[in-house]
Amino acid sequence: MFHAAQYHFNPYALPMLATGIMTLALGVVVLIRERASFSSLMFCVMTLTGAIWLLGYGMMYCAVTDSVALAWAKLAYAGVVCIPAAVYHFSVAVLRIAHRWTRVISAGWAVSLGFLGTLPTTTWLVDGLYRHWWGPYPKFGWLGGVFLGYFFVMMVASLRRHYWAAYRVSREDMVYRRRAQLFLIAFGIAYLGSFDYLPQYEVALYPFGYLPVFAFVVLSAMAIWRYRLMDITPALAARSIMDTMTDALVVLDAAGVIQLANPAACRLFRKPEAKLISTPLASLPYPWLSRSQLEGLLAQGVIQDHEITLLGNQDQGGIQTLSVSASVLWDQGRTPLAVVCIARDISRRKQLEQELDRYFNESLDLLCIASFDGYFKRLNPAWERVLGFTTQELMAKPYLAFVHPDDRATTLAQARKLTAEGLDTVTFENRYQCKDGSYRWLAWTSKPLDKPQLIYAAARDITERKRTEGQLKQAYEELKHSHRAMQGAQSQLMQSHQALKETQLHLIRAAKLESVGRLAAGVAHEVKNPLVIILMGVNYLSKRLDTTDEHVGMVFQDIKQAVRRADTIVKGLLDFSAPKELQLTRGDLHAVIEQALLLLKHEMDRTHVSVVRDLAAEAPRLDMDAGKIEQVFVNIFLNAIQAMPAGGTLTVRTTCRRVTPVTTNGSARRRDETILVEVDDTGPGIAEHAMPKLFDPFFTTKPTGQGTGLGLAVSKGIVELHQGIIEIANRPEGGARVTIMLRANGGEGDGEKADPDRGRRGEPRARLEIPA
Amino acid sequence: MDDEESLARVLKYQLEETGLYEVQTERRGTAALEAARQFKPDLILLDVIMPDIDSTEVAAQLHSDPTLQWVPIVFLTAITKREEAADRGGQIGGNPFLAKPVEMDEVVACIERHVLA
Repeated sequence: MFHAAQYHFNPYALPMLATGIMTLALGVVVLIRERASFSSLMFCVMTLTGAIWLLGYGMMYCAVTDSVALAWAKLAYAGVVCIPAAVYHFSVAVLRIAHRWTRVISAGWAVSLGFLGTLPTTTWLVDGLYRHWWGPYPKFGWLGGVFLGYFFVMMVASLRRHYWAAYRVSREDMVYRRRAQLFLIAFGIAYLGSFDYLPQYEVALYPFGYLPVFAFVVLSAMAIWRYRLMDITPALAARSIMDTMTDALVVLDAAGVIQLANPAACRLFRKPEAKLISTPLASLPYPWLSRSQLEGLLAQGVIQDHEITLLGNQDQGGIQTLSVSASVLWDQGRTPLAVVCIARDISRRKQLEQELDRYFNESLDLLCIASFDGYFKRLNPAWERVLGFTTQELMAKPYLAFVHPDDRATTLAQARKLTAEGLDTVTFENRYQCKDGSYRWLAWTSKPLDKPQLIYAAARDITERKRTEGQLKQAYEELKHSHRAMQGAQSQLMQSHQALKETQLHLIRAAKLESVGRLAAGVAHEVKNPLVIILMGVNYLSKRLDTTDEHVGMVFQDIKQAVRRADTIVKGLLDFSAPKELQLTRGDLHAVIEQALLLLKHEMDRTHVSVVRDLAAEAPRLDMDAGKIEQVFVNIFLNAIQAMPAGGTLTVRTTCRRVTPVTTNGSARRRDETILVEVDDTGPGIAEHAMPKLFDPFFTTKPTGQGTGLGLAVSKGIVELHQGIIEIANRPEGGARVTIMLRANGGEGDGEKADPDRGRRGEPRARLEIPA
Repeated sequence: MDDEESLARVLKYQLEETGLYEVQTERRGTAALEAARQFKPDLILLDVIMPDIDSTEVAAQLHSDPTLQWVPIVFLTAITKREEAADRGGQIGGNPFLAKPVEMDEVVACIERHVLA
């Protein structure tokens, strides 16, 4: 049987062998793919019986001798007799009704095994061989008919199971139905293979049963690939869900004893599954449900989101919060069967919630959630603290009612930006009313939420800041004000500084003049003695030299003249440096002027100068040092005369008028009656370059020997001692004009008219101008 | 009496030339006082500025001397200011003064006026 010589090549055997191998391969692949599930195991058994038949027949066709062929035929029949039982068993298994047909299955297998038992020793079923044209073929014995009966009964039974499942049983499971339909077709086709029984009754028709079996293999492969043998049922999913879920799950029986625990539960209780099973839940260190709760649950049927807090059980800060849900399963008689408990660890969520709540409740800022329709929905306690209103009071009215009337428009506009214009964030400030009627400034940051339509906003009480800002602003204004005042003071200081500088310049000039005066006085005194000696000497010599030589007399006269000139200069110097004291007496100015003119009459006659008097009708009377004033006029008249060596007109004009003289520092002096004296000449006038120096001592424009350069300097000193003003200007029509202004009644009638000290107490500027 | 020797000298020459006066000159105040007590002059011409003692002091001492008590004193001064003249001359009781520079004629006239008076 196992010798190659016993076999020869028979082409009719090839399809049998190929189909057999394919059938066997299908069974093995399904078994592997379905992870040896019950259905796949039965499928494999079924394919194995088919494969034994096909392979056995294939080998039988190839056998050379009858004995070998008969052995293969009996071996093949070992598979054939099992086919009805295997098909039936697989059918009820895949339709998940095996538990209802166990007796039929057992009976089927018993009958098949009975047939199998006859094969080795008897010829009841296989009784020799036929030699058909395609090869040897088994001949049925007397049991063949019985077997065929059994075969077809089982065939019908199997098809019936599938038919019912596919079309008659009302089940929603489409996979189940489609699979049953496909198997109905596949088995229907496969049973066409029973054609192969005909040649066993000597009918010489080629047994093509392998073709339907091949079709069956293809169809069932398709069905299994598409719908699988095993259903994905809640039961199937349940285990997987239990194993992978993060929530802890235990199933208790009615007595509260754990019957089922998933890995999460094991982690939670820190016990292996084996130790949890059959342990009463209540006996665990941290039971999810107390016994009373369990009893309540059994009566009620369900518990949802029952929160329990476990202390010191876990690493997470020692506190763990579980949310337990439980439901009771009853049997048909409403007897509690089991309790399914699921515990979810919500510690993290709880902690976050608490943190959020703490943040919300203890925030110093005013936090709120407002609806788009203008009401507060949620407020934190800071509101009550800041405004004094209770949360209920604040939520009872639209929030705009609490906004300061002046700020309502802007608040509304800002809210509209969020609700209507879709802005992401707005920040603004407004005032909210407090319970006591006052207002607090709040600085807002608001954000909208579209669904549901809410505004989330945070406000900060900036009343103090506002107040500080106001104070700062005021302080700034005050500072600005004082700055301005300081600037004013500074400019005043600068003015006084300027005035001081001027005064200093005057002082320097005065000091200069004073030293010049002192020097002059010293020199004058020392010069006088030599002059006396010269004069005495000339007197003596002119008497002793009794000569008729007129040249000698002329020289003596010249010497005397020179001495007198020198004496004049010395006198001028002494005048200039004389102490500043006035011998004030009330007198007539016109009389003084006339006296001066009289003194110069001879000089005027000599140079043909005529005098024009344009004097005031009323003689001006004033307190003056008449001698000194006379000296002034003599000086001025002499200047005028000397300016007109070829004759001319000297005009003296006096007017009395009220004027407001202006001092050099610009401030108005008190109104006063002033006597104005103008002395005009018809000379050439004064050269422009000489103008600033006119009053300087020793400045003169006259030829040598004619002027000392002291006349105007002395005159200015005298006029200013009288608190008067002297000015010199060129007249537009030619010639020079000297103007002297004198105060007529320097005491305003307060009795100091005759005060001899008045000159000393004159205006500072006047004193400073005068060399002491 | 004048510290300017040349002035004193020319005055002495001119006055002695008239034949009417005998003149003695001194250059110092102390010497002048001594000379005056011996010489017994009819008039003393006294320069205001003296090198050793003040002319007012000289005048005061001359006037306190019983022998010279009635001798007129005429000051010769380079100071022409009335105020100063008043301060100086006035202090010794209205003694007259001659302001330098002065012509001989004036000096003679002044001497004659006081001596003959």
